[in-house]
Amino acid sequence: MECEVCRDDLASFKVVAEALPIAVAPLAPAPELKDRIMAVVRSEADLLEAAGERADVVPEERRERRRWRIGGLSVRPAFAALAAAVLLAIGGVTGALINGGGGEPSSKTYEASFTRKVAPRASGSLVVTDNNATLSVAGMPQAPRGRVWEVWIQRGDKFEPTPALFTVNRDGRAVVAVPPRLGGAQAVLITAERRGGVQQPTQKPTVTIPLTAS
Amino acid sequence: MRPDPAPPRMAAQAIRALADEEVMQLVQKGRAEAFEVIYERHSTAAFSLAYRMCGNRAAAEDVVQEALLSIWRSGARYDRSRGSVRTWVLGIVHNRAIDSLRRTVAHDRRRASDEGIEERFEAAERTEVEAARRDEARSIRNLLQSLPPDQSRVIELAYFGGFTHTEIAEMLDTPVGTVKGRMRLGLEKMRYALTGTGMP
Repeated sequence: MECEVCRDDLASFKVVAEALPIAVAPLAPAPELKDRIMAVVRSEADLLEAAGERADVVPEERRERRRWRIGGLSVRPAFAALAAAVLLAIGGVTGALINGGGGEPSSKTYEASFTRKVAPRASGSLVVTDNNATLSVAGMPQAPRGRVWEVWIQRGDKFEPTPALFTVNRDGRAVVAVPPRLGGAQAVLITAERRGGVQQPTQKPTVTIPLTAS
Repeated sequence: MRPDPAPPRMAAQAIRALADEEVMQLVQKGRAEAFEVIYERHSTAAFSLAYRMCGNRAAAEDVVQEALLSIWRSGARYDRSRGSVRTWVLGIVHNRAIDSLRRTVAHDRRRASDEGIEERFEAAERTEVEAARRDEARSIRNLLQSLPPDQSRVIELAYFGGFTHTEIAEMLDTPVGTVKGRMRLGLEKMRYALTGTGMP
């Protein structure tokens, strides 16, 4: 049990603890920091909204009770989801056949090609939808010491910096939100740049993702 | 039964008129534009603290990015009964900066001196609230600097440097008990200056 005197004494220092962090000289962060953070936030907010309000709420009922009843059969959700996916696929194919296959795909996937000398076992792709572009890589090495991977959009001979700077985990995996302003772009590129990013690429791209129809 | 229709979304301009605590409720619902307001209100303080602790812009930006994204993802953990949003945000930045410092192999990084930074980098005073905050920061900085140097030094090393009592004692070649005593005295003086209580 806490000593009441100690607790009061500690609490009395709260005002000092709250004052110390604001005692530093004010220093504005670079505008690019906001761009980077808000790109991630907006991307995740879009996903959250698309998934629904209770998407991140853990159901209270116990796992073994999570069985759904379909046509009098009791099935686990995974099987139900599989069945639903199969039905949707059948429906989609049927719909496409009925419509002559004229519907626009909801997303496009572009495969990444890597400089094999730098990333011999890496793979990756860019998935672009109307509102999002998500880059996934696996087996990619860490950027050299003091550097991060920076994503660029190539238009003609110009390279537009993006707020997407990233490092990879131990498996070389990373999932990065890329600004979906890809209209008219030829490719998405990744180079190793100094931490914080740069405005023009200083290295040859390690990853190139041509934005041609796949 | 059909679910209730979703409430109309509050315009970004209306969110800016809300208090921090109300904005946090929208952040908890996944509203990116609400988080942007939190960013605009507190990023300068967060970055300033991180820069003071890490000593370079790149590391400070990493700390702020990590801290703010953790706030975005765990906004539900904000408890208004335990203090202001600003205190909560800066507490998280402080903890992340200490984590970052401890991850750094060489713990002898050079921290930026406060002197001269205001002239070189000072953020624009856009609103009266920011101006008031700046005045408050200045007076607290003056208060810290008004302490005897041996007391302000241990407080700065502990708070901004993330060093333990033992590490500070080694650095200053002083017994741990002396370090603790200086820190206690310094903090008591600050408390007295801020609240008018605790000192004779």
